[in-house]
Amino acid sequence: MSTLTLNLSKPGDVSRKLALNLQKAERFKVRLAWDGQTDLDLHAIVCLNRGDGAKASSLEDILSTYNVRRRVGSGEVGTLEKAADGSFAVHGGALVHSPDATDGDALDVDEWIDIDPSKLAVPPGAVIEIPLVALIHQQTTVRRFRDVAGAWVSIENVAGTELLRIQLSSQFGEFIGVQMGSVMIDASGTHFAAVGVGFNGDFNSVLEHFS
Amino acid sequence: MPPGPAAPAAPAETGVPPPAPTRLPSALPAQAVPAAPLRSPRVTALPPEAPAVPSTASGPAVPRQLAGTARHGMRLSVEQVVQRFPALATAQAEQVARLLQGTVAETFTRRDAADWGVPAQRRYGELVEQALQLAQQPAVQTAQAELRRLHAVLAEVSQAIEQQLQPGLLARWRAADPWQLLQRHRTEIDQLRAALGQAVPLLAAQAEALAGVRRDLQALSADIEAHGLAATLLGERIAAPGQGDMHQLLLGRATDLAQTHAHVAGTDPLRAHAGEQLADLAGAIRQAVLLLLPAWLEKALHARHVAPTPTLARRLQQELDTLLHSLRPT
Repeated sequence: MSTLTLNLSKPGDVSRKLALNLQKAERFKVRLAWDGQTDLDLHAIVCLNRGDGAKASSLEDILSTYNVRRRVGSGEVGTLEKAADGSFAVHGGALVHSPDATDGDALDVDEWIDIDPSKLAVPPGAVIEIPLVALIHQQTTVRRFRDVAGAWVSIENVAGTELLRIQLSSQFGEFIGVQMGSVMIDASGTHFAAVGVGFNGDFNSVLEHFS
Repeated sequence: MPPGPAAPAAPAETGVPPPAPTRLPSALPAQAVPAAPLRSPRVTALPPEAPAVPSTASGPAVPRQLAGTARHGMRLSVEQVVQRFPALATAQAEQVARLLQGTVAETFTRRDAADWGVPAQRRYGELVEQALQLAQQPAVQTAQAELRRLHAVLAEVSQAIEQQLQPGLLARWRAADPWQLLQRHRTEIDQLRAALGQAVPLLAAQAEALAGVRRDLQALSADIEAHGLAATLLGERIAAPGQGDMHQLLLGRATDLAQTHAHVAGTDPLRAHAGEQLADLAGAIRQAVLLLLPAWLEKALHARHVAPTPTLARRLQQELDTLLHSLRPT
């Protein structure tokens, strides 16, 4: 038997106009700036949270200058390939890091990370968490953010709205690292969640926490 | 302030790069599952001890935090800002709220108060300097001088035609032959046309750069206003009257920033006028010098050989006057 169908239009109904969703897919830009010869770094870790805490399981998940392939002593370390311009990326360009800046000589922003959540696939029932961290490189002579002039970090969305700005030198002066927050991606969408936690530890202590 | 009790140890100062962690396969599928639909961002203020759990139907997911000391900006909503400044547009109120949400009260010092909004004011000075330099570019002065000279030469020709058309033999006898006069000026006219033609791209680029500076100043004006209003709120919230000179310092910054904002807004029409003048200059060159003048020259130089009738001479003079009107010096 064929399915019964009815024409649901009524006299006077106005035909629908064509319309497109004008909203752009969410993206984030993290910026780090400072002055002087100190070496500060931005790091991001692509973690998965299935209910037991956000964890990274592979070096492919770690966007860090410490994870760029390089020669140290007689051996080679790191997994990420550097592009011709010095930038590096994880997850097929979902997260792209600027070339590593070893001083704060740039006029404005010294390091940045671009995050395109649309390039990350969320497993069912899980949340992708991308904690964002700014750290003083451990081999520099400067030991705390208060010793770094004009250090700040900001996070901006695709519309150019600044979601967070932290003055590292003044607001987290006694620390060597700050977790600014995390980009959260789940079935309901994407958002940035501010954290604002200062800590005294190196990047491996951060990795220990998230692995 | 010392770090939180669970903060990791300070980094070892060994000079050796950090050891790489054990490599495991990523738990993320490689684009096997289509990305979830995206929506507007939410900025979430988190409790310090947020549990690390995925999202549920009851609310958004909260992130896992490192052990350490949490510091939050001032908790002030856009609605509270609007309540304090009812005439403020929503976008401006949002900017004020963002500034305060990014300000940690417990680490806010007297120096922070004294420096509040200073970078924006410094940037204003830089942009004004840029606008001045653009307005004083030699290309503009040169083009204006060349245009004035071209106007003078062609006005002389127009005057000669007018005299020749006057009734009475004496008047005509005294007047210079306009067509010979035009021929005498021909080389200079061609040089001026060529120079002005070359100036057009420079003037257009300069007009564009000036418009860019104006846009930057308009955005900066909003930023300066937001800093001024935020300084007022900071003075009220974290440095109440009677708490040393911090309150006075912030109110002083609020006044100073409000004055700068008023100055930026007050000088915007001047910059708009400068941009219009530049656009008019480029437009006059394009229309009158590069389009109308060659056409008129062709007719006028042809007339020189055929001894034009008074009617033709009058028409040529009228066309020249129209052209001169477009070329009038600014």
